[in-house]
Amino acid sequence: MKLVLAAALVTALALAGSRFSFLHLPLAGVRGSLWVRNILLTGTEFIFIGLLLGSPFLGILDDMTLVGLAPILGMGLSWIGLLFGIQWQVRRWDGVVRSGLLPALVQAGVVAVIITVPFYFLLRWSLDLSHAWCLVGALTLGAAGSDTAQSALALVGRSARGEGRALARLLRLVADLDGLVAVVVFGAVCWLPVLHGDTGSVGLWAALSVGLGVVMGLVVVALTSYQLAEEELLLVLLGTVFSGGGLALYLSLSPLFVNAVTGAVVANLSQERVLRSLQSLLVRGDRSVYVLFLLLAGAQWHPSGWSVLLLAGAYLMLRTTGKLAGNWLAFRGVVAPAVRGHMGLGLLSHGGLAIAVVVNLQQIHDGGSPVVDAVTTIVLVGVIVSELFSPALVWRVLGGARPMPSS
Amino acid sequence: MALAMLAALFAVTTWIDTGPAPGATPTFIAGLVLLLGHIAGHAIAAIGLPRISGYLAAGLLLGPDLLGVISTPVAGQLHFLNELAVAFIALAAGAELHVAQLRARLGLIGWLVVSTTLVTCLSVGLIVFVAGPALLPFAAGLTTVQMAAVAALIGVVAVARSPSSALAVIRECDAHGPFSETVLGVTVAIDVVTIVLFAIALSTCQALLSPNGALDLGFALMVLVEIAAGIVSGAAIGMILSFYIRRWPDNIALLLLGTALVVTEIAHGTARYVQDTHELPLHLEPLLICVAAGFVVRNVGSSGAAFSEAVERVSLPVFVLFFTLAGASLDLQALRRTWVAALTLVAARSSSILAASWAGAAIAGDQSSGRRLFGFTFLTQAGISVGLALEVVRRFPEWGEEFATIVVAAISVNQVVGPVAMKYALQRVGEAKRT
Amino acid sequence: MARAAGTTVGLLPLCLENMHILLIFVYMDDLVDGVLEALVELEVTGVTVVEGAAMERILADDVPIFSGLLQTIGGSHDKVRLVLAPLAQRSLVEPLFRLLAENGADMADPAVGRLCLLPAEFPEPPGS
Repeated sequence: MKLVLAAALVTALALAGSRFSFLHLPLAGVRGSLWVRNILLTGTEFIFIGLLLGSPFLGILDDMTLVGLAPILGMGLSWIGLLFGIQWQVRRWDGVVRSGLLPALVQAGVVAVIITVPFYFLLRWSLDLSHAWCLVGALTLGAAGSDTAQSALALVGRSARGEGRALARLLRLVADLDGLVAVVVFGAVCWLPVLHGDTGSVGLWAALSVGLGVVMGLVVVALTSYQLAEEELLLVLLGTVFSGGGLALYLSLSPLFVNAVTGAVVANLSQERVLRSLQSLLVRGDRSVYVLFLLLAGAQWHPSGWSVLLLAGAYLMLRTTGKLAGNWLAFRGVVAPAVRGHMGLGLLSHGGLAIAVVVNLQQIHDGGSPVVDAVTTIVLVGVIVSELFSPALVWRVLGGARPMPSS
Repeated sequence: MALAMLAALFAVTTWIDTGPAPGATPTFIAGLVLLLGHIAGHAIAAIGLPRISGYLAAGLLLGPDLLGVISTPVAGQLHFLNELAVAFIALAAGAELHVAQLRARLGLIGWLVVSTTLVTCLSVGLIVFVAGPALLPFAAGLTTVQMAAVAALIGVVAVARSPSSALAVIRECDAHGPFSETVLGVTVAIDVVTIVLFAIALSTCQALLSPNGALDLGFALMVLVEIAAGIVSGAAIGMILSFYIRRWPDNIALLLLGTALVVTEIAHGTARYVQDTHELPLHLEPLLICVAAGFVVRNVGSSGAAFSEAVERVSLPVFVLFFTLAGASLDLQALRRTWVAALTLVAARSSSILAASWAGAAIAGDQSSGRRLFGFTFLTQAGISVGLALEVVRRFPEWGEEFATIVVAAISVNQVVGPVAMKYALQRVGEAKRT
Repeated sequence: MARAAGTTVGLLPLCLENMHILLIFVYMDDLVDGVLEALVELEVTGVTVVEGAAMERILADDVPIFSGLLQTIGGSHDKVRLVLAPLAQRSLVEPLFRLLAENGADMADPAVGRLCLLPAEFPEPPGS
């Protein structure tokens, strides 16, 4: 029963990770380079733990075991998708959020394009893939790259003072909103017929994807329209997560996207009290699921040759360029030119949805395929390198304001 | 409306088949089980029946005999979730047993255990023995000794209860008080007694029926070792849990999931190891380990309250999953073929339990309003009984299959009727805060 | 409190049976004074101000991974002031809304705050 042992191990690590990672450490020393401590502050070390447990090394989380753990992964993707979507309660948005939406999406869109287009050709040239698979790989990288992880900004931003504080709030807002591009773009990747055995059309899979999300959302709204106790809400939530995620995987669609649509429907149609309870329940699983993703992404990582590392380098450069260009373009007239020029450096933190996107791709298309291996390597290397430097870069962008006294 | 949408979603999966990703089907079915179980539970509760009956009904509807949504292969894929649910429910059951409150009722619990065990086993066994082939067609070719063995085994299986059903009904009714605590205490104790009794009965029967007539004492001893090892390892796990919860009282739900996984692995892993190295059929019962663990956490140290609260918060999805899957495993075909024998066994078992409970309470000197109602709470039967029946199939292949068919049919009826009777009793006694 | 209100305002003892607790959640720090001024103008006494933190703010002490937007939306409710007061006359509610709006604390705007009434009983001590 290796599967049971693996599940127990993964659960224990997720528990430990959610408990001991992402510690709100006193940041009195935050100035330049935290380096390895940055990794430990954001849970990125679990990628390495996963890699250690995977096939190339200890083999505890080998390919067959990972197939057995697939339902857990499916559930995790659905959970995150639902959590993401349920935050888009448009009627609660104030003017600040509404005004930040378009620039955030524009900057993320620019990043996505700047990564996707060159990578289409890079993948074609380096891995000799077909047009369809190049498109899958390039769009996935574009989706992953467009997102900004929220953790580094949250960790460093709170220490900012003066003007840096306002900029920190703006950067956090952008990081909160640009995930939409990642989710939608990757959702669109799953509409490509090549992922469905070349059956159907993009339109059909798009309609199914959105339709499934909407129907699940309406089911949740219907079931929660009665007075339900918290344990019943948990029951409905788990039922939604399992069925929506399972059905999405069954149709080789993105559970992340489908459940994000579900979440958005629930956010905008549910009663306020119910919505708050659902949000509270979902947030409780935030860290555990992320640690699970990091572990399993690492376990399914088959580092394949040095050439892919060059691609990872290209990815980092393109992402950085995209962030700088995207923010410069998006915040014209909103932010002072002096700030706008280097604002993108404060949005290089990488993780969160990028990892979720990679895991989603691994789920719907068997590992061992060149495009999945390449994308996994590129994104994971990107995450690791970004997390080494991003807190320091955020600090610089915020003006290196004086830190809070340590408590 | 929700039902219609779920049905439409399911139709989509049967219409489109593009080679789903691994794990997609069981994940989707698990979700469907949770949502439909929830709807069915509410619908049934509207007519005054316990929600667990709704979960069973939903499972029956989705099962292989009716809609076939939970087909046999899918049920096999979900078996792992079922095992986890059993472990979790056992943790919850152990957590309900509070020593301070049970101490005052030890005498009553003891007499109820003794009376219901003896009377049920003997009555049901006697009726089966006397009725013989008239009740059990497969017994037509059996000798008297073989018939006695069959009767003894059926008598022992009839003793078994369902702690999970008992706990589910108690939770649903939000029942608190001496009556509920006694019921749970008796039900859990009877499970342990049944395992021991079954081991003795099985050894004896094998001795009687084997050519050389030798009593396999080793088997009985093995069972005692299994029980002791289960309790000790459960206690150790309980101590670790207690320590952890005291230090880090958050994310207890995830901790419970991990515990259920670890217990399942310990049980199966130990069995494999002992079989491989010593060729001994040692089988640790996850249910026993978890009851012991839950009991220790509840009663040792200061983590009991936090543990109970966390268990209560997440127990509903586990119950829905467990009982809906149990409903899906109800064998309607078996019931159709053997309904006379099954209903006879049900009637014999029910009347002997009712009589024995009344007698046991009277002997213990119980003067409470519930003394005539205990029997109604002991009618439920579920998983462990089926496990015992399957063991008989393994040991006595000549007539074991037909034996199991009738017994499982009777268990199915008890599984449906038991919770209704229990809810009635809890309401009559006045301990059900939620009806 | 109830006795003081009953005595001060000269209410009939019957009014003690129709008492309410007025709760005003004020999400914007700078509007608290305006709320208190409105209550003073209506001669509502026994007012207590409690400083609290919104759920999202508590959650914000955890580093967000996927739930940053939730905290951002809730961030406007960083600190919540809860104004509690016993209210003897329900008829004061309408003028209160008007005064609050005049003082910049428009309770019709959920971003500003919320006002609710809870029926309350103020039992007299035995022997009084």
